[in-house]
Formats: sequence, C-alpha cells, structure tokens
Amino acid sequence: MSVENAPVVDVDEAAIPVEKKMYYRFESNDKKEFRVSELAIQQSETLNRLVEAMGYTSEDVENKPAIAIENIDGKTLKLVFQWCEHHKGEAIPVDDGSVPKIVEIPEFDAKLMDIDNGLLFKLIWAADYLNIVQLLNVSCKKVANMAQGKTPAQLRRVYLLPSDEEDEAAKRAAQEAQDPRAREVEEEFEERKRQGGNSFF
Amino acid sequence: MSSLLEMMPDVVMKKILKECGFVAIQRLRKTCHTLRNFIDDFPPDPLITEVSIGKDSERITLCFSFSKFFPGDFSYLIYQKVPYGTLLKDFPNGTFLKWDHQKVIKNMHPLHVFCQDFELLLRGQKSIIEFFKIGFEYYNSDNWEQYEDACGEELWEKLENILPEKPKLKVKNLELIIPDQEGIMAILPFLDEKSIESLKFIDAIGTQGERVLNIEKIIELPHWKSARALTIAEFSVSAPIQNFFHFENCSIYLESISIDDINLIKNNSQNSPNFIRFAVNFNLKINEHSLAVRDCEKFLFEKYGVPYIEDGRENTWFFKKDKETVLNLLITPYSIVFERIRKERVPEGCSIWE
Repeated sequence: MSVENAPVVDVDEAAIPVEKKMYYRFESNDKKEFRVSELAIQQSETLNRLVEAMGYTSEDVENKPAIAIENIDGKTLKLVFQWCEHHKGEAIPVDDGSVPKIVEIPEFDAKLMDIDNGLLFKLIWAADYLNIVQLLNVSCKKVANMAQGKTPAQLRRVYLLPSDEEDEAAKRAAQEAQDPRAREVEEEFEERKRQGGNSFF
Repeated sequence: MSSLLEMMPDVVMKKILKECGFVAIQRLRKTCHTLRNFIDDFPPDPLITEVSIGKDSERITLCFSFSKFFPGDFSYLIYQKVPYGTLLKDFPNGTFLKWDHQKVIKNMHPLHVFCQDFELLLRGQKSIIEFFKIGFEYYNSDNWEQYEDACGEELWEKLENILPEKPKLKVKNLELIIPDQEGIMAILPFLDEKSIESLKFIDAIGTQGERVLNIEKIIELPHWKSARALTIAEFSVSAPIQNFFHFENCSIYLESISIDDINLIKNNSQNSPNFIRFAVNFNLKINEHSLAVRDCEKFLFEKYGVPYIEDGRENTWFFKKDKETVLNLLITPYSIVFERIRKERVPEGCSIWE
C-alpha cells in the first residue's frame, strides 16, 4: 500500500510543538500503514526507543520503508495510534507499586474502547507489547469493570472461559499422550478444586 | 482452546486482577482452573482496610471492607452452626435487611469454613490494614461453660496458623476482645511490629476491672514498645506503672494506685514531648478503688490546695507543660486522668503548678 493511500490518524496540528512535527511511518502485519507524530510516539516506550535508535531524518522517514510492527494488525494499531495522538504530550504515569493509584477512564478512551471483547484484548496485548503504560492501565480497568457484580457463570460467558468440566475434558484428551505426571497433576487439580469449593467466595 | 483472558501475559493479568477488587477476584477464581492457579500463585493484594471477627458458641462473624479504590465493597458474613454443617449467610455491602445469599456447607464446622475463607481473604494482603478487631460477642460471665466453648483455644490455634509469617500482616489499629493474655499472644506476635500504632485489649467477660490481665509476656514484645496508644478496658492490669510511660495516649484499669505512682505519671506527662493523655480507671464496685482515689485527692489537696471544680463533680488541677500547653489533672470518683490541653483552656484565676 502506498503512503498516499495509508489510513492517516487524525492529528491536531495546533497542539504539536514545531520542533516535534515529524511523522513516522509504521506498518501493521496486514500491511496497513500509519503516520504518527513524534510526540504521540513518546507514549510508547518501545516505539520511542526504536525511533531514537534509528535516528531518522525527515527525509529518511519519507524515503525509507515504513517501520514494520509484525505482530499487531491494522485494526488494533489504528486504535493504538488514535489513543497516542489524543494523549500526546501527557505525562506517563509511573507505577512504583508502593501506593495503589485510582485509574479513571476518560470519555475519549471509553469511546475508543467501545469495541468487541476480541479487539479489546488485542488492544491490551498491543499496549503491553508497545509498553504504553496509560493505555494498558485504562484497558485493564475496562476489563476489570466487566467483572464487577457477576457470578462465576456470568464471568465465564463474559470472558469466554471454560468451565472446570470443559477444562477437565480437554486435559483428559491431552493426557492420552500418557504424560507420566498426569495422575499427579490430576490429584493436585482435584485438591485445589476441593479447596475452592467449600468456601463462601 | 484457551480464552483470550487466559492467554494474557502474566504482567497484564496481574494488572487486571489488581483493578478487579477482592470480590470479583474470588468469583474469577471459581471460573476455571487456569485462573484459579494463577490467582493462587500470584495472589493480588485485596487492599483490605478493616477486618472484624466475632465469635460465640453458635456462630462466627466476619466483616471486612476495602480501600477507597473499591468504594462500597464491604461484606458481612455469618458462619452459623447447624446440625448438618454450616449455614453461611452473606450481607453484601451492608444489606442487613435483606439476605442476598445464604448456603449450607455440609459436614463442615463453622470454624473450619471461616478459617478457609479468612485465609483466602488475607492471601496477598501487603498493604496496611487500618483496623483489625477480633472479639467474642459473649458477656455473660455466669455461664462459664458456654464461655469456655465460645472462647475455645481452637480459634487461637487456627489464627496462629493463618496469619502469614513472611511478610507479617501490617495492622495499624488492633482491638482484641479476649479472655486472657494467651488470646493476645496468639495474635500480636504474628503482626508486623512497625505498623502497629494503637492497641486495645478488652475483657471478653466484661467485669469492669474485676478480672486482672497479666501482661508480663506482652510487654516484652516489640509491638508493645512501638505502639503509641494503648487502651485496656474492663480488665485491671497489675504491672509497674513505668511500663506504660512510652504511650502518648494510654487508658488502663488499675486495682489500686499509690501516691508515688501519681507523681511518676505526673512527671512523665510533663516531660514527654508527645504526651497526649494518661487515664487510670477504677472499678466502682470495689470499695478500695474509690478509697485509692480519695487518698490521691487528699494528697493533692494538701500539696496544691483547692482544685478547680468542673461540672460540680470533677476536681481539676493544672501543671506546667510547655509554652503552649498545660497538663490538666482531673479526678473523678472512678478515674484519674492526666491530659494535655491548650493554655487558653485554663479557667481564669486558676493556678498552674510546677
């Protein structure tokens, strides 16, 4: 796909400082190309390090091939870059683990993440891979919010989780390969199940 | 085939669970064995801020609430003994008027079901618990047999095993309603000594100072030395008064007190920079206690003259403390209280003694 035809992420030109007005080109694993501002890239520690290491000039950006991101598809990458452009210039939160911080989902992020679960999980995976701290925070919060007030049966439906019985059936099938530790694992599983089955929680 | 949630990297799963809160985590734990194993292997901090356990011969209650991150998340559980096992009642988020959930767990004693839940509750707790209370909701000292049953040592033994060894549970304010020193020794040594700020021990029998709490083991614990506030209620204590001088705020019951002790308390209260209050209470049922107060009053009358009388019943003297505050000594028929107050609160015309 040519650069001219690439899906360009909306950019608020006025908000970008002049010295940062350089756009990098990235390509998803399904060959979709994106132009992303330097300032927006700073939200991703992984990409920021990458472009710093490459040391591209404005000419390089235009003349060299787009930087390939091989394990994220175009649909997911579009969401990622939309998020980065919207939040460019914002401070990146530091989680030192000492004091838990309240994560709030801004309206823009809530709308961006109003997507099916499959895409939401891909977005989380991408945020983790590209090390976009705040995107990971809000997307994990969204997944956590989906769990509130639900019974285990409802949670299985929401997250498409197998029941213990389905798990066991899959495990039995796998054990047909005659794993010597199979019985031991089975006993451990039964014990854990027993422990988990007689409490309130 | 694994679900998308199960395929998440560990670091992401931990982040999601951290945002879920304790109740949702426990529900997720019951969905499938992959999640259960993950939660057991990497227990998220449930961020519990308050825990209250109550016990009598028939039931155990467990009440807990969480940090501001999960507003309204609070649960009250009752583990009731029934002929065929345990009846478990749940009042989520304070819905005391409506029983949302109740279930029977067959062939299990309430104590065992409770211990299982309590262990789960504490698993992963690293943040400080602001308020931790264990108490026996039984005050009828006439029925000792039932009392013994209610306060059976089994709970203490179980708790000793449940409280995590490393890292120790961090608790800021501890309140124990216990029958004796052993009840305290079953809990206090297993908590992190640096986090403890206040200790409160109350006699489970509730005899208003008639029973004595031996504290010779407790005062050797680092927790005793690092705590800044102490309340011992209903029990009398018998130990040298100096053992209580490091507390900024202290309230105890004594069987009697000597003039020397009063002087020691006064001097310590005047010289400790962080002093707030020192209260000594007496049991009115026993004559000699009020006699002890009367002896003190007589001594103070002779030494410092007529007191300021507040509300027509409390004798008050004032002593120098520092530039902005004074020491207020207040004596009632059942208590002797030293308290640090601002100078402006001293009534006009009252002497401030050395």
